[in-house]
Amino acid sequence: MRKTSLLALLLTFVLVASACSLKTKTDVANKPDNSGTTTAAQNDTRVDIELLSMSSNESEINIIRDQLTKNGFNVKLNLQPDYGSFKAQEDGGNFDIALSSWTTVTGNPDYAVRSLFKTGGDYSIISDPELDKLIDEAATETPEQYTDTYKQLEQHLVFDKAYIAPLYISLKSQAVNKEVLNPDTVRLSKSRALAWETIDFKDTSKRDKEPLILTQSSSVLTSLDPIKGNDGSINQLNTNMYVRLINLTDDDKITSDGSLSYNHSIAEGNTEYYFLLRDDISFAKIDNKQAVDTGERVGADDVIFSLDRAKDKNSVPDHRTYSLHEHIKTIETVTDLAALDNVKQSSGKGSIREALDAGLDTKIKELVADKNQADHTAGKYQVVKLTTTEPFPQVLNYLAHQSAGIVSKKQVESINTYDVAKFDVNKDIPYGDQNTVTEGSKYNNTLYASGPYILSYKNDYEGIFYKNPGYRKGSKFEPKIATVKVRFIADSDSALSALRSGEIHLYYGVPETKYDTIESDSKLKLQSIESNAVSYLLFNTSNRDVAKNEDLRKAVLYSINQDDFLQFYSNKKIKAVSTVSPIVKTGNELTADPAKVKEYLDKYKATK
Amino acid sequence: MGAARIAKPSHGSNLSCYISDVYAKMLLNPSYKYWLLVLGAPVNLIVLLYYGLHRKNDIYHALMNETRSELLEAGYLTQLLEETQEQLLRKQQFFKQHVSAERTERQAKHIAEAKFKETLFEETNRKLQSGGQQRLSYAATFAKLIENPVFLLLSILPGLLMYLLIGLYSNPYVKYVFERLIMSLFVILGVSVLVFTILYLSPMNPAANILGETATEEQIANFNRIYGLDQSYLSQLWSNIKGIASFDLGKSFSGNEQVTATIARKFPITFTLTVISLLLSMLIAIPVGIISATRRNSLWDYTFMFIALIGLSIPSFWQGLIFILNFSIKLHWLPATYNPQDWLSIIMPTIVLGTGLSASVARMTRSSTLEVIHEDYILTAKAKGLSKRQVLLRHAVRNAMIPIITVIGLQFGGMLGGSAVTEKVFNISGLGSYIVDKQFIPDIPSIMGGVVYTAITISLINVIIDILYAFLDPRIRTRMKQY
Amino acid sequence: MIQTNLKTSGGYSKAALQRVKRHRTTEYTLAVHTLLTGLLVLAVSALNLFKPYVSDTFLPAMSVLLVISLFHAIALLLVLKFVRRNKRIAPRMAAIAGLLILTSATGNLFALLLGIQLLRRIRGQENPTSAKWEDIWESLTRNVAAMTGLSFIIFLFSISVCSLFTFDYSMATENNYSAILQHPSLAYPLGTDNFGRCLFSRIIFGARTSLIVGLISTAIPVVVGGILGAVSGYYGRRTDNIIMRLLDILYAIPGILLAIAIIAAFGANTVNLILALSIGSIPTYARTMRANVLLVSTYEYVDAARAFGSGDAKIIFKHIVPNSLAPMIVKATLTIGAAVISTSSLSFLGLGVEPHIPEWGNILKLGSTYLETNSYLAIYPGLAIIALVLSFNFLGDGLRDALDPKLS
Repeated sequence: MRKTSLLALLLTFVLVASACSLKTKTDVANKPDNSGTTTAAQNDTRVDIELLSMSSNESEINIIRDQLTKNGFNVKLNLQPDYGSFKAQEDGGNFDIALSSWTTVTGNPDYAVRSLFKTGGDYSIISDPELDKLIDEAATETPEQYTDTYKQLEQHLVFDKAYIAPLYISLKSQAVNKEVLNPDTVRLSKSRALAWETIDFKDTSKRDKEPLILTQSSSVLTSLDPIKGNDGSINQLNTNMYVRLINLTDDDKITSDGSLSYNHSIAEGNTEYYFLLRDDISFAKIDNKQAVDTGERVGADDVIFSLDRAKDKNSVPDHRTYSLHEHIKTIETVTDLAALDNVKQSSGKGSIREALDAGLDTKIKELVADKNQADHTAGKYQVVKLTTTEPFPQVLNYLAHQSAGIVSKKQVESINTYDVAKFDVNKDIPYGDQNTVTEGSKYNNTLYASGPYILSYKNDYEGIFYKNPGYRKGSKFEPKIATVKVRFIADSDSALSALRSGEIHLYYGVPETKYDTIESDSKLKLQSIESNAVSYLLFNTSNRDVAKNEDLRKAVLYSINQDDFLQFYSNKKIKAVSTVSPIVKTGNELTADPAKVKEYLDKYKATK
Repeated sequence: MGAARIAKPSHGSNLSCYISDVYAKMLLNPSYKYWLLVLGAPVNLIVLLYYGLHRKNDIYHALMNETRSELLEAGYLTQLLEETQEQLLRKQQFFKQHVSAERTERQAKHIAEAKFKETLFEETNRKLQSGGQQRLSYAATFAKLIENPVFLLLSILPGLLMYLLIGLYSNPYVKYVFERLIMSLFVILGVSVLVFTILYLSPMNPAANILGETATEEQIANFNRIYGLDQSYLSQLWSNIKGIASFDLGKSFSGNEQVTATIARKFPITFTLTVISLLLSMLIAIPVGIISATRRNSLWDYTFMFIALIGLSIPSFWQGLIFILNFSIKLHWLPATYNPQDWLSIIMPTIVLGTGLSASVARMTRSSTLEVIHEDYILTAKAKGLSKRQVLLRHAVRNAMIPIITVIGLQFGGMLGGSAVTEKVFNISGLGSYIVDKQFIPDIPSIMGGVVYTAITISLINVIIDILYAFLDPRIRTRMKQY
Repeated sequence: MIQTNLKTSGGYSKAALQRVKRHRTTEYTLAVHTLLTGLLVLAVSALNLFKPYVSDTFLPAMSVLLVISLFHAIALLLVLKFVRRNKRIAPRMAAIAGLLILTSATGNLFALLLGIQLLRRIRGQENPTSAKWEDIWESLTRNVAAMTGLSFIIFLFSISVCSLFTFDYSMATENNYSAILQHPSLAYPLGTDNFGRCLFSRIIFGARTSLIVGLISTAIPVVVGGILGAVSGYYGRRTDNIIMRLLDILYAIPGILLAIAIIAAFGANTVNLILALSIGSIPTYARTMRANVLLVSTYEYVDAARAFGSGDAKIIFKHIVPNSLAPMIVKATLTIGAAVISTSSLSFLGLGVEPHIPEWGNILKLGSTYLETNSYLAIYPGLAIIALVLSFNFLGDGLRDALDPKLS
């Protein structure tokens, strides 16, 4: 009892003593504040604003809510558990600002703006003739020319009209167990998915004995037909199962390295594109769960078949990627060598033939129509020509996308015998259906892979890939490790734990908040690179005050402080101005300005 | 049934007597009456015809009229009325209630009439019995008819279902099991309707989610048509219930998988995990509970019960994460994620899932053992000179097991459902995490299937437990026979 | 912090127990707990002094709390002096009792209990039920574990109420990027989270949400299930059959699955969370109530009431329900803890309350991603949950022992 009363006495003393020196909240708030963020809060009425987002973006929502609240807004959250309900809310216009993000997987700036901001674009809710003009103008320009055009576009999109409020560019990262893998062989590319064929063990004698163990979150694969999916569950897998006409380098330059072509060239006028095909890749198939070489070569007929079905909305049910390829007009084989001589390159210097000949051991002597007759040692090659609907050099970026992967004409035609218009999910089994590769009674693997690896089977926990025995045998692009096991681990924390306990060798897409953990683990190596993913706030353009009132939009825009995001992610994010920021450095920058917020908010309130 | 039919000629009268007895009993039970009449419609129709024809000749009505006039003549009704009125007045006086005279009269009249009818009925029956006659009721008609072997033989085929039902009713065990199964069937149906309705009412839009960002209205409409989402509530509900019964729920919205095949693939691991956890926790918790009960208020008791309480109070995902950090990342003893090829990887999930169950089973064992220890029969056993150990094992624990098994049966359901969290922590691709994942879309056939088949499993397990009880617990057995 | 709280409360309960053994009055125990809970709330609130600034109402609120604590100390002394076992208390104590009840506005329910207890004693003990009440209280106050649990719960309740005035809500919700992931210090007694919010303030404000969710999601099924069970048990036959069969359907779906289904179908927010948790546990309460009602209905006093001409509703709610409440109360106390655990599990699955609202499940989920690097973020909220659930279990066990004399 005495102890407690002593305590009470002590407390009284402390209270009385500190009462004089104690600062209360209003004391602090009334002081002149040069950080500025709290001054706007003195405004008489708060402006309601509804923020729509998926609940997975918890941290971002929190920061935005905090910033807007401090700038005199009253933030109402509309959190949706998944993309479907998020999209439904967005379509229904139940938001003022929507937290959105965009990844330019093809690495070209046009893809970063066309479907987002052009009138009538795939996901565009904006209609502004000035923007349309700038987008179309930039599409036909060369990189040197379009920097300025995109700068104007950003000025109009962000600063003049405030259609979006940019947040940040994310990093792309992966953690490698360097005790098992040779970290130098693991590529990290800005846009393209991880290439498996280069990865090697530290101890190269293990190549054939042990599997490379990777991880991805989704165990349900949308489809192993490249054109029927464009999401995280299959991007990496299909990229490694199907070779493409063209590839992207780690910093998003177009290259023929590691692709089906020796060389490619753009003809004058930017509407015709030529590809000189390789003859050392053949399809692999699965027999008794083992990969075997079919002996069937990947050739021009497969390329034409693949790209024709890629651009045709009605070639398969649930076609998910046709809009990426809408610029392709025709694709055909070139058999007349003279046709190559007569066309000039887009730079105006030299013929297409010269461009295609560059660096070949045996120059082009003859063009053949039959893929089996092609023989690079004898100078017999196959060439395909692609024509676009309008001058559009960025079509090459779309051809590097996994959806432009080359499938076997013969095999796909023999599997997809159903009538597309009358397709019945319960009866017809399309090529690449995940059920055909899932262990169980429905297992019937009919895949034909043109890429370095082929999927043998999968279950809920892992998918087993074997290397394609007919893929560029003997070259440096021949897959190093014989077996790749992809573990399906849904939760990022679990994946990280698995990496740290040695169950997986490589973890692709580490969250920024986990960098410290990985760096503190001596057996892991973290690799990271700026990616093409941009997060931004999209304003409602139809039915709310923000749609009509530019001042209100600008007030929100200048409330956003990108430094806070950078600080929260301990500088693992990069400032952005628009979705083209990762690709084109325009020199624009958004700075938070509470004074401007106050000014625009007052203007907005005056109109009410 | 076959044996009964062969034996019929010799024991015909016995059998028919038995049948008519059960038949009459069943008619008194409203739900059985309905099924009895429907299932045996052809036979009942004939009985009804016969009954209708012979009813006019029944002496019952005449006898009743006779009795009524006799009683009225004797002034029985007025006598009753007076008596009742007096009683009522006295009651009102006692409770100090004030009721108008008119109302009291009405009340009295009402009561008196009821009493009169009762007496009339009794009197008539008494007369009927003393005269050796029987009132011709529907059941009696049936009994009379069935006594005729020809009728019995002829009615075997059209009335087969009815006789089966009678046979079922006549055996209390079979009847109990049958009723229990019917009840489960009803529950399963109810679960299907409930879960479907919840999902149907959800404001979410599966089509927009699955088709992704490039979907047009036309694609969405097409999707809704393929999966029947454009149909009315009732037709969707019907097709779902049909799907559950025929183990064919069609394909899931996303991933193009057969729902039932996927569930069949994911169910075993959840079930295995649950069963191992269950066995493990029983193995640990029951001895702990018994020790705690026998050494009540000892240090052991306090320690065990405190640990059990901690086990009840710890959030399982947190426990799992702490386990992973220590045993996988720091010590490298056990894998952090589940992998079917590595049996070591199931150890941690089992422990995490079993913690809560062990805690509640230990507590339940302790309290029910304590309760049993104070029962009279334990005292008797002790008085008989049995050793403490024998008393404990042979009598106390055996009797204490009954509520323990109930708790386990209940917890089993909770574990099957609650395994979602454990599965998420350890990346187990089981039914629980499947339902949670599909919930976000929402993938209606998958969630329906997942929840309903879980509920079916739980119902079936509870049926088995109940039936086991019926055979093991003498108390339940006697109660069953009583009705 | 919570850990030390628990230790402290355990400590003083022990000290209190010794005194109780000497004086053996329930009032004394309650008075001691009243005072100590008040002081603990004061001490915990006083930690705000180390913050850069305090809320505007901090000083007045602390002064009021201090005055109230002084009054509680006086009340304790008076109780010690004037309240004796089996002796009637002088009516002038009624003023003290009234004041005590007033001070329970700070959330210190011990003061309320003490006030009521004193008033009961002043009014006398002719009522036979009062003796029973007396027994229950004595049994409960003698149970150290139960009193510890009750103390912790009332402490949390009281601090939840007082924090409205003594804590600054913005500390718990507003981001402070200059103070991200700081280790525990005097200004931030439990450190800061990844948004620079004070974990200590968050846990204090989170207690309110967790208590509300736990209590309401238990209260709803107790009321709904209780009514259904009572009606079912009283009327029997068809009513019973229909109600119980319908509830069997709910009973067959595991609670957490049902909750997941409801939340995911209608979105994650506090109201849906409470509803989801409530609906799943209606059948258990209905069954408990029904069994009790079946038992109680056979007692003579129910027949007497019927003979007296009481209506069904009156019989059920005046005679049957009050006499079958005991097992319901015990069950409810024991399952509030389970509701708190379920809430945190649902938060882990991403189906809990809105993320910026401080709630223990949310805090723990966020913290558990920092289990290794900033372990205090995961440990303290985890301990808080364990302590709360443990307290309800202790209290529930104590209540069961007190209400069910068969076992003691």
